[in-house]
Amino acid sequence: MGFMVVTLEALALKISVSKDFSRYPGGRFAADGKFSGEEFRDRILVPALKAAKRRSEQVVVNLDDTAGYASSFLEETFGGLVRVRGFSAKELLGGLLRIEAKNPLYAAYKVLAEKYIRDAEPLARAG
Amino acid sequence: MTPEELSQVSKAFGDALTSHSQVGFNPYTVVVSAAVGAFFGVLSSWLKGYRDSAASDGDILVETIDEAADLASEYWLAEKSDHAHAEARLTGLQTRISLLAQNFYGSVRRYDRRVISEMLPDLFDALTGGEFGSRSRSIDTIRARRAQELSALLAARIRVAFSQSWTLLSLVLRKIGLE
Repeated sequence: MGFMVVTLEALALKISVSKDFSRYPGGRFAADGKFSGEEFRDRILVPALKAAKRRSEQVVVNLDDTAGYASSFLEETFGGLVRVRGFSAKELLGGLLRIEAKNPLYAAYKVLAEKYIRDAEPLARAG
Repeated sequence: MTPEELSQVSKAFGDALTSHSQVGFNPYTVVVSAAVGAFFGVLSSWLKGYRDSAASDGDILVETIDEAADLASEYWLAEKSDHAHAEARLTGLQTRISLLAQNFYGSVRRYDRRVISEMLPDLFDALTGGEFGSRSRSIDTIRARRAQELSALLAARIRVAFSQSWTLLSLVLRKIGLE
């Protein structure tokens, strides 16, 4: 009888910011211009997270190969998941979402994105 | 020791010196001494070049951080207007800082690398966080001051990291993988 090894990697839904969204991510809000954090979160990330949650999968967001990020983009994208879209930091960082930066140049952005998730408070609680 | 014994020791020492001077220079000793001297000369010159290059990397990193902090302070203290140029420069400067930091990490201790890499995200948050890029943004004096504060702390940490990573002990430990 054989065993099938199922890794988390195989069950991951992968999103590359540079390939699936833009090499030039913009600012915070959609009203401020193209390729904003709000647009990325609502058009790409939230649908992927909802699908992954239903199927007990994981979403992997790869930050590599863009021309850099404004921190406000990262805050609106990742902090906004908790603040605006009702996800909890615990479920996101507990396995539903993995943020990766294979290129060390993007390591600071990965740290920052995870920090924004941890620090965000839902709007109702934040008042 | 009696005076007789002292006299005998002194005579024996004198004889030894005389016999050594009669032997003259051993050519092998001369060649080995020259080789050892040349080896250490080349080693110290290589180390000095390596150290100067690392110091220069650190200087450029600090200058770029200062430049980014100054530009960010101007940006956060100015009334909202068309700031697309400053925004493009600030995100570009973040990329440049990341690149230069990667280059600098090769010449400092693992501990210092970790400390500096933990400080960078906070600096980036001060530079381009908050309402950065928003058309409705307001003047943010806290963020302007924070950019200056974090850049100063980071610059000081880079200097300390460099001086502590270039002691003889630290170099040896790094070379044998025990830093």
